[in-house]
Amino acid sequence: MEVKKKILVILKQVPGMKEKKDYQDTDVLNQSDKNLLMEALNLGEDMGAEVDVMVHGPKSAENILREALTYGVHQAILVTNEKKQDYMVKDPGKAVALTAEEKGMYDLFFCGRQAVDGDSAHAAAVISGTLRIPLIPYARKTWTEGKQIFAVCAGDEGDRQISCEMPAMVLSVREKGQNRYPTAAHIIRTYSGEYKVDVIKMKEDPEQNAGITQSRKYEIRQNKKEKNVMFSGKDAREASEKMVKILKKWDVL
Amino acid sequence: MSYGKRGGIVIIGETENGKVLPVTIELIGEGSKIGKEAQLSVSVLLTGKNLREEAERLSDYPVDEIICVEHAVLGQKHKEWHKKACLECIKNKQPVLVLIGGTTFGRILGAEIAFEMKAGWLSDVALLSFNRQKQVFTASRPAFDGIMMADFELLKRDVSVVTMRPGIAKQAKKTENRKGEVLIVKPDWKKLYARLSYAEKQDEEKKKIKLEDAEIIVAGGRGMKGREGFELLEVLAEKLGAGVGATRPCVDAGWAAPEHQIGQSGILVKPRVYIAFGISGAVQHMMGVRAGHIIGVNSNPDAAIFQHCDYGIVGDANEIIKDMIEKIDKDRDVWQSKE
Repeated sequence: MEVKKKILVILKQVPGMKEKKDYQDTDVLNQSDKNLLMEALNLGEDMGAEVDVMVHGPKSAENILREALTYGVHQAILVTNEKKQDYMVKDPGKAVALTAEEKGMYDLFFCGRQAVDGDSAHAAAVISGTLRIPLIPYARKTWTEGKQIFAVCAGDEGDRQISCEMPAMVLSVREKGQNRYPTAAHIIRTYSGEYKVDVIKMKEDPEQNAGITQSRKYEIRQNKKEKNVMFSGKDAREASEKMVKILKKWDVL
Repeated sequence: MSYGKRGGIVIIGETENGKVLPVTIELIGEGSKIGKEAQLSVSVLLTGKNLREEAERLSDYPVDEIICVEHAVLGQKHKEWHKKACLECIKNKQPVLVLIGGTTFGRILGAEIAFEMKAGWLSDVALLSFNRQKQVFTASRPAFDGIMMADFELLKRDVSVVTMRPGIAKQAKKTENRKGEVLIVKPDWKKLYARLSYAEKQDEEKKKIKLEDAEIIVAGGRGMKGREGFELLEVLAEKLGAGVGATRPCVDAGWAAPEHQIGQSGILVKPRVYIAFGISGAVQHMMGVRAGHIIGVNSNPDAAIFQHCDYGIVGDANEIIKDMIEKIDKDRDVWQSKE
């Protein structure tokens, strides 16, 4: 009997614009990770695989997981230590990897741009390193054939096709592709409590980031122009004529 | 196998088509500055094929040595081989600080090296210095998606891996006094096995203008209202000889490709002229813009972009672009008919 394949999508809790000051206590599924979830669900459908989601964060991150449940994921897992964390001293990547192992190994791990753009920016490498699986970076498009995962990957020199045998980790930079929407059934089951978020307490990792400590944080003072000139034309035509004049002045035209 | 002096600072250089990327020269600038403050040697590590010529060129910069690891498999940018080459060198040298460019390749390579070395890791560092009293490196980087800056202390006794994005640091200047020693290392790797398979590069339409090098950039934000808005922007860009940029929400929405993204998690650009269409001016985007002149077009008169502009125009971005295209074409017809 063929064992069903499993995909794990690792989401990041990123606060909405207005909540950034209180970084740890917000609950938004960001657009980048939404694209990622869509991709994993579509791929899971093609493969006949179950798709689980996991977030490392405080208890409030349950809201992201509930949102993911409305899209029809199989399981939603929160890895938390319930403490307000300094944003990068402890390594959440390892906690995610070890929890994933305990849950029974996955065939594919997906993480999104937040894993490499975000504050700690090395989650993908830590998870794949801990699990000893290959990491396919910057995948724009993915598909499977048998035991192999294929991806078209973005690079500074151009796109390239990379493949490997599963289990593997894919760092996806896919922009919005095929849409999927929450279904009424999933929404009702999520918010009625029938679907539950599995909350797992993070084990303390004795190996922290060696020798790096945060000493302070402060607001950025943005460089603003001291003098600027504002135009508003009576219509777009007038405004565009002013633009063209300015560009001629600057030798652009 | 000898990889030169032990300890010190190692800069992992990156090449493209056999040439060292500008970000490597920037890292040499930064590395040599703090190397001098911390009294540490500075080495550059290149991995690839036929590197001697580039290594000799780098020896004119303030570095103590340039280590070239050469092997046939390093001819292509296969992550696993370059990681293997870098790790063998770093494990041998035991540096206290490893600098790597925050390019698509460097970010992943650096993170994997940091993991294997159980090293401290900091990405997108904007500023590096050395505190002699405390004997620590201090690194400043954006935090919380660019809203704040955070300072970190990196102990000199432990190895730390740091990335810096292209364009952040100043390029090193050549020095007459010092000539870096070039060391060629040819590892004797047997039974090579990689888990990842790389196919040939995909045929693709040649990239129009590399944004980092563009003198003029037209960029679109949410005010472009969709993919069609960006198609219009591309027409305008062609007429101006400009590169096309985008904000992160537009890339996430699929209106523009990731390589057009400008900002804290995208590219840093330094054009002479930057024209922002329908861009709000959020700090995460503006962090990636260091332009000589900026024009902002936004239908919201209170948009933050207007605080950064030389000229601000309140209006609908798409309508203004259409009219600009028409005006430019008309002016060109008049000019050509006079000839």
